[in-house]
Amino acid sequence: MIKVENVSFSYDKKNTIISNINFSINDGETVGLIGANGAGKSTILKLLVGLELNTQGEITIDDLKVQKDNLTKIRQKIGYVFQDPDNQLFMPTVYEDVAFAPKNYKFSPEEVHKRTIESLQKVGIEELKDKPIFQLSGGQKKLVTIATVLSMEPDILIFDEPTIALDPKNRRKFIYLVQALKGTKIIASHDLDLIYDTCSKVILIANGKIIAQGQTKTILEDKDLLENNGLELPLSLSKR
Amino acid sequence: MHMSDALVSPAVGTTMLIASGLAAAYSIKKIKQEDDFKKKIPTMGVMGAFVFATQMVNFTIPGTGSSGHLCGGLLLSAILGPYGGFLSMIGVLLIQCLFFADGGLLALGGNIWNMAFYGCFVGSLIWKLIMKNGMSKKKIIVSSIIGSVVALQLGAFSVVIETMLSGVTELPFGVFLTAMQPIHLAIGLVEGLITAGVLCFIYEARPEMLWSPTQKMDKQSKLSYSKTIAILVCSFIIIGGGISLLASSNPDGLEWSIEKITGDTEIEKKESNIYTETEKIQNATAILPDYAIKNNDSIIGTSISGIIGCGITVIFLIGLGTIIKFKRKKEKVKDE
Amino acid sequence: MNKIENAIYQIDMFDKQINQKSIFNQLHPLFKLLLTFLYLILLTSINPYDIFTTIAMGIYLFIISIVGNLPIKNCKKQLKVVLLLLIIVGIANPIIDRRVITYINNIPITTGMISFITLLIKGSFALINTYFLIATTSIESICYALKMLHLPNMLIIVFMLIYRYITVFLKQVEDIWTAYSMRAPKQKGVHYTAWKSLIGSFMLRSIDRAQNVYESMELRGFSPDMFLLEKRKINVRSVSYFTIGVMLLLILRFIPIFNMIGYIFI
Repeated sequence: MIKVENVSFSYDKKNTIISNINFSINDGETVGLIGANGAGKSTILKLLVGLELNTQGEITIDDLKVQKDNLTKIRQKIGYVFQDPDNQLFMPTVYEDVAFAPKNYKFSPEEVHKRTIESLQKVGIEELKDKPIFQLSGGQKKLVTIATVLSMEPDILIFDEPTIALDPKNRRKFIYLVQALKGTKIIASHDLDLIYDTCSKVILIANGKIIAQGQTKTILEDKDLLENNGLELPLSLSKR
Repeated sequence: MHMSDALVSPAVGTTMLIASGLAAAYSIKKIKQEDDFKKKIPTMGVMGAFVFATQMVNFTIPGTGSSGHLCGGLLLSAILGPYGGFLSMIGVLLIQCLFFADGGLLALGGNIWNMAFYGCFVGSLIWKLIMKNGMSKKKIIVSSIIGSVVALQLGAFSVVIETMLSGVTELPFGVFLTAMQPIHLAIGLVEGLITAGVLCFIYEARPEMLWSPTQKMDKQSKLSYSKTIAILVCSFIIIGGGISLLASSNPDGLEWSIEKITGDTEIEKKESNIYTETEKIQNATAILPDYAIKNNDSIIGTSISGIIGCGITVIFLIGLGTIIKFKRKKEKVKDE
Repeated sequence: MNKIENAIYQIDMFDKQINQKSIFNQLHPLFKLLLTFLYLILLTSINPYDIFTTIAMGIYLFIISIVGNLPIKNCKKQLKVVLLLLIIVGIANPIIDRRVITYINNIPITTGMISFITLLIKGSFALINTYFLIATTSIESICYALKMLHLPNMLIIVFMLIYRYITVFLKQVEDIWTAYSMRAPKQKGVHYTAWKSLIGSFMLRSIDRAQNVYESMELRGFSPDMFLLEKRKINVRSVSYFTIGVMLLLILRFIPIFNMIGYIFI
């Protein structure tokens, strides 16, 4: 259970980036965080994992407050998939990268190996395990980044703009994968078709404020609401 | 300039490795004391790769038609501080020597010293001296240019010294030096100008990114002048001592090189002494000198046996190589 | 800027070679690294006039090349660069050092000529030797060997990260250069008016990337003292390879085999 209560954030005192947001996400839900470029989606995600610490309000994850001394515990629960796979994949080979987190959380070598192979299997890329990262295609890289966080066996998965730079086939593959994965999922994106296909709930953000939240259908079919906030109807809906 | 393995003797190579290793160990110790050292590690890696890639860019030098390059020591230090910059440069140089044959493993110590040490430590020292009372664009330009020029001059000088001490070239010390220093003055100026431009850009966009010694003085590890000078002096003593110690086990090596540095006036005298000279060489190198002298007293005789032996072996190996190559090709064809 | 493509190609080529599974690929990296270093020390310690021992050191490379099926021609390009440098530094030797040793067909052979040729041979051999190490050893293996030699963890992680991001940044630089030269044709390099902003903005992006990499490491529990690579076992094969290698090198270096072979035929 993720709870965000009256949270605000700013780098300096003048410009607030996030102001007074409230939402909660139940276990097992898939939630879309939507908004135009620069709306504050990434900042909210970073607040959830404590990469930025909120200046006001309170964030709790499974009753753990997001603050400095809880970060190790919280981060073990959350798998964060970055927008640019190259930022996330920093080890020489796929295997080493997927094994990075379990090793750092000091699991036994056998457990590390088991988790690494399992997460590679989950995303269906076991055959890539000895490949160096730089030889992978964009779509393969994305799948590897997901494997790298799955090896922590997280309860919550966070995706930041996951379908950027994916071709249609890989995008489809990604959607199936997200649907198959268990646990709570948060997807930040302006690819509304993706959100439409994967999420049950949507939170719409503009200028660091929550404009609307609720069922995916109600929000994504509201043309005026979307267009007022720098977004457009999902393609699959606008065709009709 | 990356020195290649053949330009350094084992004595010079290992001494420089030890000296650079000590500087690296000291840097690691210092970095671990910094507050944000966990963040420094990925930054050193990523910025190292950045410098590597930037070194590939050609910069047109106005008015000359030729182009210059960036080495990047000072640029890295201006973001990471001297210690981070130095460690990052070591990584870059190690990769260049292994994967791109720029320099060599044995010459790595020397290359780290000539290119990273001066650029990062001496460059930062100058940077720090000039930035003492706050930062400004003008100061950035001045310190970048002075820092780069000084670092490259010291680097070029070290290349000359190391090559001379290794005794691989007959080039007189003075000639070598007068060839190297002015070239590196020009290179240093270009490096300084590019560094100045880039750092000014960063200063305009995100001034907090630049390493400012005054502001973080109490928190960040101090790089005081006396300390740095002490380090420099110590390292020179270590290097000097190390080289002479190691070289003394290789009797004619050092004598030979020092002769060259002080100006070789004895060439004529040597000419008449050619037989004893070559004999000395033979004795110094061959573990089994008796073998060479047993049947044949003259050196030419020994050389003839050497030439014949060498010729036979090389022909044999080339033949063997061709046969194996031929066989492998055949197997390949069969497999297909 | 051909250099960029070359560099990307080279990394790619090494990677393909490592996947070729030659005998040497499976040996323990520490032994390979030590042997490489020993070779360099023995090679560079040869007296500049001792051309026969220098050539004899090539026998080792020949054997490795044949047994491991490693063609030397793959490092032709780098060889050219190194030889050019050595010619510049060493060309003074035959000019200045004119002590005549002997005459072959009335052409005087001088010590300077000998030392010049020895220098070139040494340079080539040293390069080929390092090339063999890289062609048979992956970057993780090299890092593992460096760790066994007690290099600090931090340095190894930095080294690994640089290697990882080189290709990413090279591709970016290639894009930047293509975009630049499309709008500034007939320029061999970046014009000085663009020095600042072109590299500056690239640098800012790199700093951002560094920040992101740091965050992604943090989120996966990164601790600087953890060693992250898989263990590699020391097997009998590696040890015997090392022992044979050391013995062979010592023989080649200290026993005048060419002279001995020559005597048989005289």
